[in-house]
Parts: sequence; C-alpha cells; structure tokens
Amino acid sequence: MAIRRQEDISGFSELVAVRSRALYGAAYVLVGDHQLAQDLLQEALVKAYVAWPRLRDQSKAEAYVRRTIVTTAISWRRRRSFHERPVDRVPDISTADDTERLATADALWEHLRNLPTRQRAALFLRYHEDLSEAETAELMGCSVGAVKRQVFVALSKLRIEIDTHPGLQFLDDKEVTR
Amino acid sequence: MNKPLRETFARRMDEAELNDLDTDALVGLGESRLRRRRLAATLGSAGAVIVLVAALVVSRTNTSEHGTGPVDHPSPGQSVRALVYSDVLRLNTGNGLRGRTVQVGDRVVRTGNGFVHMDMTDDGVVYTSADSVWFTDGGVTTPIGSHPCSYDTHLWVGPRVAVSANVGSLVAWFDCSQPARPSLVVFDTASKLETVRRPMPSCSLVGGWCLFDAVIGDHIYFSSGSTRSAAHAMFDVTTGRTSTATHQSYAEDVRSHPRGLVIGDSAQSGEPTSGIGLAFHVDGSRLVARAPANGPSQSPGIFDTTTGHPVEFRLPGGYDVRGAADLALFQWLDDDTVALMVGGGRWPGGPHYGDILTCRLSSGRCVLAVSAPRIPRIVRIVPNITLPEDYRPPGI
Repeated sequence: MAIRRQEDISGFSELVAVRSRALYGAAYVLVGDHQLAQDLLQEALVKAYVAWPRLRDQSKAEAYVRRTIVTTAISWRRRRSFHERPVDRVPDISTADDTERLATADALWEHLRNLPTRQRAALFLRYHEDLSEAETAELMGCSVGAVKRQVFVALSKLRIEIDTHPGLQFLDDKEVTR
Repeated sequence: MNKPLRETFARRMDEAELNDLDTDALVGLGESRLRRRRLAATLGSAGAVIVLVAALVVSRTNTSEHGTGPVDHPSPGQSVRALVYSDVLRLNTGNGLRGRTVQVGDRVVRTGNGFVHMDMTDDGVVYTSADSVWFTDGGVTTPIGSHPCSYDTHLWVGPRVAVSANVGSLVAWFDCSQPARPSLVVFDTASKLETVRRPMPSCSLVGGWCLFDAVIGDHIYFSSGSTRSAAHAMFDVTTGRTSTATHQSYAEDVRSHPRGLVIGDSAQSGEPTSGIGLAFHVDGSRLVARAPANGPSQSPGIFDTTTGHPVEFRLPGGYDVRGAADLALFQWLDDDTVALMVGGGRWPGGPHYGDILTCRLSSGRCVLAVSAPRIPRIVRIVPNITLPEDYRPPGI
C-alpha cells in the first residue's frame, strides 16, 4: 500500500510526463553523459516524490527538481563518485563550410564537458537559466563571490581553449548583466 | 561568450533524448525510500529507548556489588557491518543488469558507473566495474584497482570477481591488466594499501582452475570449482606462500575464526563453512538449511562455529513467505547476526523476492529488515551474490 496519497501520485506522474524531457536536458548538460543524466534525473525525481507534500504545485515541483539536479550533480562530483569524461576526439580546428556556428557549439560543448561540475553548473545557471549571481549562489549553496570565481575561471579556461582554435569565435561576456 | 554558450546549452538540451522513463518505477522507488525513512525513524526511536534503558541498567550495575557476571552481547571490539544492497532500475534493454547505486546502512552511494559485483569488508563496500575495482566507506568512493579479471572474459575466475572475509579488511581479486599473465591482488581497505601483487598462484594444484573459494583470516582459498572436498590451494597473505590445503586444514581454519557455521548433525562432525551463499527453505515458520552438494545429510542442522550451539532461524511472526524461492545468506553483520535475502541467487525469486531478513544466531529470531521493492523492473542485488546476468525483469 502506497504511503503517498493517490492525488499526490497523480500530480507527480503528471510532472514526470510533462516535464521530464526538459529536466533531462538540464541534467545532461550538467553531467555530459546520457546514462549519468538519466540516473541524475531519476534521483531528483525520486527526491521530489519524497518531498511532494511540500511541493504539490507543479511549478514549485519543477523548480525543486531543477534545483535538486544541480545540487545532486555537484554532490556527486564532490564525492568523486564519477569522473569527468576525457575528450576522445579533438574538435576540428578549421571549419571551411558555413556550419561554423554548429562547429562552434560542438567544440564549446567538448570543452564544457571537461569543466568541473561546479563550474559547468555556474555557467549553465547564469547563461542558460539566466539566474542572477545571488540566485545562482543560493541554488549552488555557496557565496556570490564563489559564483563569480567559478564563472571567471570557467570562462578563462574556455577562452584559452577556444583561442587555440582560430575557426571558433569568442564573444564578449558582458551580455549577462544581472 | 554567452551567446554561443547559450546556444550550446540549448542545442544539447534539445538533442538530449530521454526514452523509457517509467513513472510507476519512479513512484515505486519513492515509496521504497519513504518506507526506509519510516523504518529508520522507528528504529531510531527504539534505539534511543534501548540506549536509555541500557544506560539506566549500566548505572545501576556499576553501583551494585554484584555486577561482575558474564556479558551476553557482542564484545566491544567486534566489528559491525552495515547492511548493504542495491536496487537496480532497468531503464534500457541494452545496458544489462548492472548496479549504479549502493545502499550502505542508511546511506546511498552513487557508484557513478555500472558495477558487476560487490563485496564487503569491515571498512565499507568493494565493487567492481568492467575495468576498475572501487571502494566506498559510504561517503567517499575511490578506485583501488583496475582491470579485474571477470567471468565474462576469463571463465576460470568464476562468478565472484572479488572476494573478502566475513571479518577483517582484506579483499582479493585477479588483475588482468596483462591478460596472459594475471596477477593476484590483495588490498587492505583499512590502510588503503595494496598488500600483495603477484603472479597468479599455480592453479595446477586445483585442476587448472583458480576459483576464489573463501577468505578466512589471512588465508585466501582457491578451488577447482568442482566439489568442496576437492583439493584447495591456499595463499597465505602473511607469508606470501601458496600451498595445497586439505579439506581438514580448511575446516580447521574456518572453525578457528568467528562468523562461520557448521552444517551437519553436530558442531563437531559437521562441515564448517563461511556461511555465505548458504540456502534455506521454508518449513512452516522455520528456516531449514539446504544440504550443500556432497553434504552430510538431506536436512542438516547448522551450528555456530564460535559457540557450538545449534542455530534455528524462525521467520518473523505473521510473515508469510510461502511460494518464495529459497533464502540465501549473503552477509554477516556481526558475530551473532546474518542477513538473508529471499530469492537470493535464484531466479525467478518468487513474490517476496528481495525481502531482506536479519537473523540472530543466538536466539534464532529473524526480522524483516528491508522490504522488497516489489516493482517489476527493479532488481535487488546484495553482496557476495553475483548479478544474474540472464535475468530479464517482466516488461523488458
């Protein structure tokens, strides 16, 4: 016999049905591995199920799962229970055709995958989720200064990598103002 | 920078295709976790009461002039191991049945990779993936070896990729970094040091096979995998020597260590064993040991090697396990407590497959420690019992 009430189970099932794909995408960009991302999403959803009476509202639940995905990914990395995947293919240096943007994204992705999880999470929250530094810090469980440092170090690493590939463009980082 | 970054994140998120997410299984996992929390809370409350009562008793005993009698509980120096298991959710057909999380007591350890076998020492859990050997104390996970020889590629290894003793910190495996020249590796999980690495012992002593049989104290036993009465090879970690071991010397070694059982008609005449893998069938409310191959009798008794007393396990009151496959002993928690899993090592496991009972040798009392996940696509795995590679849960 289930501990959770049927209406809670229905609400949870709806969240899984409607939002799991988008949540999986977030998990994937954080860990860079499909199987790990699936595990990460599963763990976050199970935690949401356990916490469901506090969530109920689907928007709150989704925010909770997103937060859990980030914090769980960071805690996995902290425990060193998984390791960053080495790059087994160096991206092409020059791109002669007109798909330069895609090549840029591919190369960037390879470099992003090699960043430590905290740095990748900081970039993801700031540049994709458009969270402020304060919001990012709150979600990652660290100070605003730490977020600034993580973002700065991550961008510096990416600059170095990208600078070695003349075909790739490096845009300024002043577009995020919050 | 942020535009390409945003595009990269967005593109990868769009491309990340999620398939086969089973809501029922997720609900099942959530329910399982809720039940564990409730159980832990109940045990915690009960433990607090017991501690309080014990403190009162000790306090009274200390003030009494008659408080010098023998103590009837585990000695303070005795190692106590956490209950270990793993519930594996199969999301894809192509990934095989490989664990990814391990429950160590009340903690969940992410293995971060598929593991194929797990074992216990006093210090934590050792598990093997296809190309590494890992150790976790329930918090930190570290690689402790690489390229373990596995049953998939080296049949002579046998199904137990790594093997440890019921007490102590030693764990052994074969390293196949050089497949033509495998090495025996012994690792101490207390000191976190590799204590032995040497060419594989001469398996000609045991008919060409080097199956791990058991670790008893500092002795690692190998066998040909045919019968227990066949000759063993024994590697002594202390001296670094390999020698033949007779059935009698093996039996004496088991008897001289705690956490062993004697199977037979009496503690003196029966067959000593580490107990791991011993199967029990249900007879009413009793658990009756199955006679091992070439064993002494059809319905043997079992005895505690430490005390010599007979052991008669009883099912918890009201626990109906009829129709289930055998229960298998897979772990010693302390000198007086073992863990058994319903259906352990046999497939299909029956309706109660995955229930874990803990049983006291001294009283015979068993309690349901962890309920089965009871979700079709979740398979429970325990230490010392190899993952059933050929198992296909319903719905796959």
